[in-house]
Parts: sequence; C-alpha cells; structure tokens
Amino acid sequence: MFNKCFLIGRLTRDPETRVTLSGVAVSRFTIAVDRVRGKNGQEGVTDYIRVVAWRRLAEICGEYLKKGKLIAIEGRLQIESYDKDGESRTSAEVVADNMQMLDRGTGVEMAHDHYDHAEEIAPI
Amino acid sequence: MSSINKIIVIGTLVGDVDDRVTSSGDAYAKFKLKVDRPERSDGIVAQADEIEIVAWRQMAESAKTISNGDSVVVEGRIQTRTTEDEGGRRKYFTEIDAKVIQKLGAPSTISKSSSQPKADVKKQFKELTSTTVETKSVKEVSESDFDFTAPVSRMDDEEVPF
Repeated sequence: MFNKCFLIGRLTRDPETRVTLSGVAVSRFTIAVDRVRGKNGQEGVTDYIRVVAWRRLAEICGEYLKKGKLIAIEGRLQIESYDKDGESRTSAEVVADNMQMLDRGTGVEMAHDHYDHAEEIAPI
Repeated sequence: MSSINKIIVIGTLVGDVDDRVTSSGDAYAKFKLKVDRPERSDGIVAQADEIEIVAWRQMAESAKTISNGDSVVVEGRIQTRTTEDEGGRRKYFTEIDAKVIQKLGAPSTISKSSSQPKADVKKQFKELTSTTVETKSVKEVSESDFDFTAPVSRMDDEEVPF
C-alpha cells in the first residue's frame, strides 16, 4: 500500500509540543493551504490540515516553528476513529516524515533551516 | 501565496461508489479507500486508514469503473470542509479531491493484445514455425560429430571449489 502527501502551507498558530507518558516527543499543529483558483474563479478557499510529528522531528517543530511560518511537509494521511458521546467520529491528520522551513527569515533561524533526516514512522 | 497540496494513495475500495448529481447539475462520486499503514518495527500489526475520496465531473465518470474490492490508485489533494448540523454543532471532514483515479490490474491491456487482426497472427505463426524448422536443421547432429577417443581429464574431488 502507498500513502504519500506533500504540502506547503502556513502554521495557523504555534505548535503544541509535549512528551507522551512513554517519553516520546509529539508535536501537533495545523497548516493553512490555499487552494489553487479554479476555473469558476473561486478564491480565498483554504484547507486547514492537521499535522503531527514524532520524536526528533517533533522536537525540531516545537523549537523552531511559529505561527505564520511557511513550511513544507512530507508525510502520509492518517484517519483515526473515536467515540464521542456514543457517536463514532473520525479525525484526519498528516503524519509528517519530513519538514522544511521555507521562510527566509532572520539569520539565526536560517542556520537551522534544514531538516533532511526521515523520521521513523511514529507509534500510536 | 504559493501553496502545494498533493497526495497519492493506493488502496482497496471499501463498499460501492456513491455517484450523484448536485442541484446545479455537477456530477460527483464518493467512495472510501482502505489503505494499509506501513509495517511497524515493534511487531504490532499495523492498522489501515479508511480515506474518503470525492471525484467531480469527468473524474466521477472514472470512479464508476471501479467496484468493491478493487485496488485503486488515487492522486489528488487533501481537502477539508465543515458543515453544521441541526444542533448547530460543527462537523469537520477531511477527504481527497481526486484528480486521477486508476484501477490497478485492469484487464484493458489484456483485451488490447487479444484484439490483434487474425491475419497478423497467422503470419506471425508462419514465421515462428519456419524459423523453428531452420534451427532444427542446423542443430541436427549425429554421433560422428563427437570425438569419443579424446582423453577425458580426471579431476580430484578436492579441487572442486564448492
């Protein structure tokens, strides 16, 4: 089976980074991805896509990502099912394998502007 | 702002394709793909994701060619949308807006090769048989071709490197 996606968008807010009980770092955030304007002239439509990163990549996200930053994400789309008030629901998020910051910001950030080690697939 | 939103998945179709037409006359089709997650290093059996796919207009037509259990490749973009139910509660949906839908192992290639004109096949058969005969005549050998008097070199088992 195959499941690969590539996204470029901006963080809607600062990432939420924490460490699980088993000591694994996890970072969650949402990126806003503008849609390419369609033939019928639709404009201003944005997809808000949730992203999760684990381990070393989560630490990097927590440290360097801020609201409004433009980033590229490579990963896979994952669907979680859960129960809320007895109702079965699903939530979707992209599990990041790779992240790269695209903003050419201040010099300090540029030094850490690169991440090219594919993270292992995260355990849930 | 320059954005990129691309996804490609390969999975099995779960259930049937639900094809409909909107009130404005646009055809669309919805279906679910079951996509296995990558194998885990800790040995726990990986789950699968059931990903919702939506296909519009011409893509809805290609979606009609697939059926339950088929292996399908879908390429498109991740799209999110919200709706509000009667209670005013917001519901979030994430789905793939398909740009390419391709059934894997489709029999189209088989039917293509078998639809060759008969004359061609006959000609090919003729060519094939004639060459076989020729090679046979060349390869035909008699006992006299071999020199049985030549000394056979003996080899010690110890010298064989395996």
